[in-house]
Amino acid sequence: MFNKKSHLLIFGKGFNYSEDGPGNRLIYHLKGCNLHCPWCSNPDGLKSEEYEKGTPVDELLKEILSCKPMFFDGGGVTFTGGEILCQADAMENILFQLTENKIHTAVETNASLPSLKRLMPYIDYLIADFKHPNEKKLMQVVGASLLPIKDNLKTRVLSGKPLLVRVPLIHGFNDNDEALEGFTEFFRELSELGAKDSLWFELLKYHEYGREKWEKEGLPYTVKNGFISDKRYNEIMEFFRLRGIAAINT
Amino acid sequence: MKGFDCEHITKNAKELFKEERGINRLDGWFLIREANMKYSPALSDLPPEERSAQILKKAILELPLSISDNAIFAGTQRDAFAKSYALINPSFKVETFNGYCDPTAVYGDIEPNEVFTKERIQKVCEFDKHTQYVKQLSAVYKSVEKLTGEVAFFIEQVTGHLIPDMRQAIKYGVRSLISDIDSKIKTANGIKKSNYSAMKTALECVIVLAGRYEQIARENAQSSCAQRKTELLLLADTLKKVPENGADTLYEAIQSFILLWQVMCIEQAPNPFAFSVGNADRIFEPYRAADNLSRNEAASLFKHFLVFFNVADRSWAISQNIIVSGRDISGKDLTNETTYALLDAYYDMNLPQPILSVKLHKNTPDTLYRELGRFFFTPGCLTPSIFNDDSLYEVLHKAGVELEDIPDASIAGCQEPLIMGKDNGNTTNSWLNLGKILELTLNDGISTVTGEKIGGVCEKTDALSALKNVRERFYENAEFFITEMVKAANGASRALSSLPVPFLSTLMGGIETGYDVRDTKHQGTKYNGSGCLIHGNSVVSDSFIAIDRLVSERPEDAQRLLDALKNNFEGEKELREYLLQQPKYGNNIACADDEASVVTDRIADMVRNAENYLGNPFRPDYSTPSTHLLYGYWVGALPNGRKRREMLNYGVDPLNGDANQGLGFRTLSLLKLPFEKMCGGYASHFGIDPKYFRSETLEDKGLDFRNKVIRPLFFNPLNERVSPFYLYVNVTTPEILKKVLENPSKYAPSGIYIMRIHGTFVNFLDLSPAIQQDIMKRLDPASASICC
Repeated sequence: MFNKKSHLLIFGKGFNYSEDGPGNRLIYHLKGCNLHCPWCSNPDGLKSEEYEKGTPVDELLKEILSCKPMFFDGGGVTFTGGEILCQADAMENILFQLTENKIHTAVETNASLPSLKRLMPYIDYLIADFKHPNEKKLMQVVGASLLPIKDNLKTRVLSGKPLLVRVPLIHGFNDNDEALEGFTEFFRELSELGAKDSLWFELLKYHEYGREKWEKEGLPYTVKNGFISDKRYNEIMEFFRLRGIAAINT
Repeated sequence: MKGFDCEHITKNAKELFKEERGINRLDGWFLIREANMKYSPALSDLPPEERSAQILKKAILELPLSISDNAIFAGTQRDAFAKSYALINPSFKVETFNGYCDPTAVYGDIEPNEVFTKERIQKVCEFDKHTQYVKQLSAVYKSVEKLTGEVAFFIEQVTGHLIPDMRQAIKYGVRSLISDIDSKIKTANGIKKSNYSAMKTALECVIVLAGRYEQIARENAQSSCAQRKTELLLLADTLKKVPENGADTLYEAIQSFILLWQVMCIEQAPNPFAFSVGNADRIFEPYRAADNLSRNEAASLFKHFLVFFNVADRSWAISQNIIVSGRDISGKDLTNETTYALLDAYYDMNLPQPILSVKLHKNTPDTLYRELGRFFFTPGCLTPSIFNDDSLYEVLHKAGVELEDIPDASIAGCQEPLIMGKDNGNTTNSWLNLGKILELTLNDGISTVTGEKIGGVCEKTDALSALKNVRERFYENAEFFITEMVKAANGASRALSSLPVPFLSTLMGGIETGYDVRDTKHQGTKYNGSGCLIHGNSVVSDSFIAIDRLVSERPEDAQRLLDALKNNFEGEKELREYLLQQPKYGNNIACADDEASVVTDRIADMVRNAENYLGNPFRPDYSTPSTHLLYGYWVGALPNGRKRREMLNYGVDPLNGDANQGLGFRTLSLLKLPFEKMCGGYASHFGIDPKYFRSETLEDKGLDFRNKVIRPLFFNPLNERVSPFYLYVNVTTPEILKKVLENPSKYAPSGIYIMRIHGTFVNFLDLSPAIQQDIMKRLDPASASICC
């Protein structure tokens, strides 16, 4: 069914607990991204060089299976980026095989490409960014179209499988009332489509974990002041709460 | 004691510590040895144990004593220690370290002055040189000189390194122990009778000491202001009561403990390192509760208790361990209010000694993890060693400890588990260097470091056969060296038995058995064994894997490899690169991890099969308290690609730089080792970058630490083997430490920046440069990265 020779370009791996999916997880960071978010915390994963030799999927599977004793508390493997959809074929291959081997799978994606749909059956836990509810602003700042993202998220909700929608809150980009109203509208739309126990919203405060890496890559870090104060963060949480949307914190 | 001024007491504790750090002469131990010289001849007709007790009494009567204006308790350990401990000695050099095998070397650690003249020092030193103990011990060292010269193994006489059980003495008073002895002595005869008589005299020493301090307190009170006068009179009244009689309050219990400890250390002066307190929160909680003291009030008393463990300018009384928390037989958590009070005292004082350890288990409350967060995530703050109590129950029970005794398991020194008051483990009795044994195995018993013929039992063979049969030949040699090591180690214990310790024996079950702790013919403690610290398991296992690959892929290079090892890979860059690229333990690679497990298991069995002076097994202890550096210095190049004189792997950790897949993969490798065989203990260290813990509060970071570090390693529900039971961490990076060294006044304005080296913590700024560099190197960030 799949190309046995398919490879994945990976630029980082390691374990973490409960931050990118449930339980203790092995996280792989995949190279390449179709967007250009100025606050990206992994700019080292933005580029993908074609001449690079990736990790063959069968080798990766072997490695993951050897890590089974670490997948406690409902843990497993999480693929994140870069953007995993830039390597959709190989991703489909590894996710399928992991499902066959009963390893819990999670994926973190910007959800901006249609290929996500064919991966969904093999993703036990989907974490999707929803960065801005306005098409124009989204395109202008990160280079993504809104429509495929919304379409992917709705499809996921309709499938009834777990979905965590993450909003990276960035001052000056998506923390104004207009954007918040836009988020509310879409969150409501999603909530009406599916069961509440498999859909969550998370608001992540802007951080600058990536700044040093941008500098290391020789790239300019252009975000001037993206920080959200605790006061504003609490106001935003309250804003959503009053509108019937409970955000979680992983 | 309820209702005292916590702030005032805390301020005094901090002043007291400052005062202690200002002391740069330690002469008390010399006076004790001098008293021994003075009184021994007249007491020569007495049996050794009674002689020891009488000399102890003389020393206690003659030692100059004082009570500082900042002290709320009387007592000091200053008279038991010299300025000896190598790793905190600024002049320490890896190249010249030769162990602590010469018991008279300590006389070089006292600076002559007008009072302690060269001649006076020399006279006592000469006397000591002619004692039975020194003569016997020197003969033992001489007999294995060739084998210890380049540290194929090392042996030492073990002083300190025990955990006395003070509970009965504190609760009922020393008088009650004496009356127990009186009833035992009626029916005892021979050696027992003499032991009991010695124990009685030794216990009286602490009453004498309390009396002397009481007198000083009363005298000082006369010339003190009102507030101080009240404090001193309370102290004097307390000393009148304890330790002779039972304590009722926390204040009395601590005072009683301090004086018992003081006499115990004086009895073994100089340098009884690593005596340990045991489960301190359980010892003191009944008194805190009876007294109805708040956490804050208890903490302020404990601050003075902690200062007591710091001796002079560099806190020379190293490796005295206090353990808190843990569980009972049924798995119920035993954390109490005193646990938290002790933690508060530790955090606020941040002293270089005593070491803090915490026993965790699967039912440890979140609150404890939250309270521990501040230790791990405050730069320059001490961090506790962490023990897995669930696993300790399994390991110790399998090693023959009765279940009912295991709640009293605690740590002597760095990481060696012993049963409080019942277990003489002779923990540092022998030291085995697997790296050196492999070097000698591959070079026909000749050192590739010096060319000296050292020894071994393997017959000469051709290069390819030597490599193909390397395991068989290595284990054969290991058996030979272990046998020689054990003979010498037992010899050292026998030499030490000529110095009985009746006072300590009363706190170690001696009143029950009638025998001295150090007796090598009769067992004085319920449990007894001898320790063997095993070095270099993974440099050996990685070498086996590299040899396998070479034999299979390029057998024509067999002789070339052996030559390259002799020449420290000179001109063999390609071959060395090839060896370095072979699978290494610590990366979750099955062949490398399995081999490490086999080597660890087989050597542990060989050590365990060896018998000590009483016929009890040796206890395998895979820890290398900076000796991975010192012993590595004497090991030639090895087939894993390690060059001559480089360090060995630390404890059961991968060789520095060999594990580069991050913490999770390293944890997976660790989980495959046979921890059930390591009843003597083991060492493991993670150097973790604080950036991986992103919670906002120190408390939440404590929980993150549990989730990301502790649970995968200790309480992993998918691990079917016996889980690891020990870990220490430094949450920092080499970059941060470089900054501290470059600008100590900015990063450590108090002059104290605590780091951990093996089981103990130390002031990073007190360390010798070689050890500072080792700490930075061994943080090895790639081996402990967490994915973010």
